[in-house]
Amino acid sequence: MWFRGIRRRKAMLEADGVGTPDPARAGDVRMFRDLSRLVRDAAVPDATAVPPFDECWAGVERRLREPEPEAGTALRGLRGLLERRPVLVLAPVGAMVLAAVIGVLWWTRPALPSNQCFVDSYDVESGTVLIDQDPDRPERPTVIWHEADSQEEEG
Amino acid sequence: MDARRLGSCGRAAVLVFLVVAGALSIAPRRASADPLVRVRVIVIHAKKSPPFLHEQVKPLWETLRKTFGDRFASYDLVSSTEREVARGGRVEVPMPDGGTFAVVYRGVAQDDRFLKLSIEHGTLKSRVRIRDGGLFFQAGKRWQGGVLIVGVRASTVSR
Repeated sequence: MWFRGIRRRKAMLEADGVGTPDPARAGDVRMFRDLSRLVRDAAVPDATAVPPFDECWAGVERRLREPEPEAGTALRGLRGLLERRPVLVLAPVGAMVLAAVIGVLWWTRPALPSNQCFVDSYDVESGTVLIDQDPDRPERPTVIWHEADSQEEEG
Repeated sequence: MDARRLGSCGRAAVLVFLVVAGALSIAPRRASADPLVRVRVIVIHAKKSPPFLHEQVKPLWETLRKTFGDRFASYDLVSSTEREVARGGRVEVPMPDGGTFAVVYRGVAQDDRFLKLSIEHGTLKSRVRIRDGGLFFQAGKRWQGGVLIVGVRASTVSR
């Protein structure tokens, strides 16, 4: 069966002129093949071709190699701003310097002596005792006043 | 079995070492908890007038002005005494009116921030706590047209 099928196919091809030694028909067949190839190529151009990876990578590489902004660009911008509108540069710089000076003065200020005192108890046979102190001002010494009821000057 | 016994002996030795080390570390701290203190007692005769400031009182001028305001204008020095005392030490100063002013150093307060002192002047007895290097005054005794002011300053002595 299978053999018979092959023979029939071969006979059909021979009827179409394929594989026949006739040169006139072979030329027609060749022209027809060329025409078919042209039509196929025009309909699906490079359908099975590999994408141009090299060209893609070249684009990426070109982007990677783009020159970085120069370090002096910001400085040049600042200089330009200083020439055009000096207040915008000098005001913040002055504020920072002032803040630094205030900070240094604050940290290096002499500490006030602490005369903080707590009078835990007092005992007196006569007279009046008055504790004079200001809790909000620990540098001010406490005074323990003692005045006798009828104090007479001595000496 | 021997290894186990050795292990328990090691643990016991470490425990004993830690207890002894802890005790030794606490002991000297207890002993040095109350350092020597330098007590200065300055007796000033203050009057309303005439304006005067004794040479040795000049360093205290700002403090006196802030403390007593314009109550006095004349500050004359009667005496100045300075002594180093240990805990329980007493500094006695004779007063011009015949009495004595005494300061007793009672050690360092528990929070280590204050020095504990007692003062005795006539019938007045008081207990105070002051900062290391702090100053306080006791005043009120009238004498020769003015008032006796006693300033007490105490500061620890670094050994």
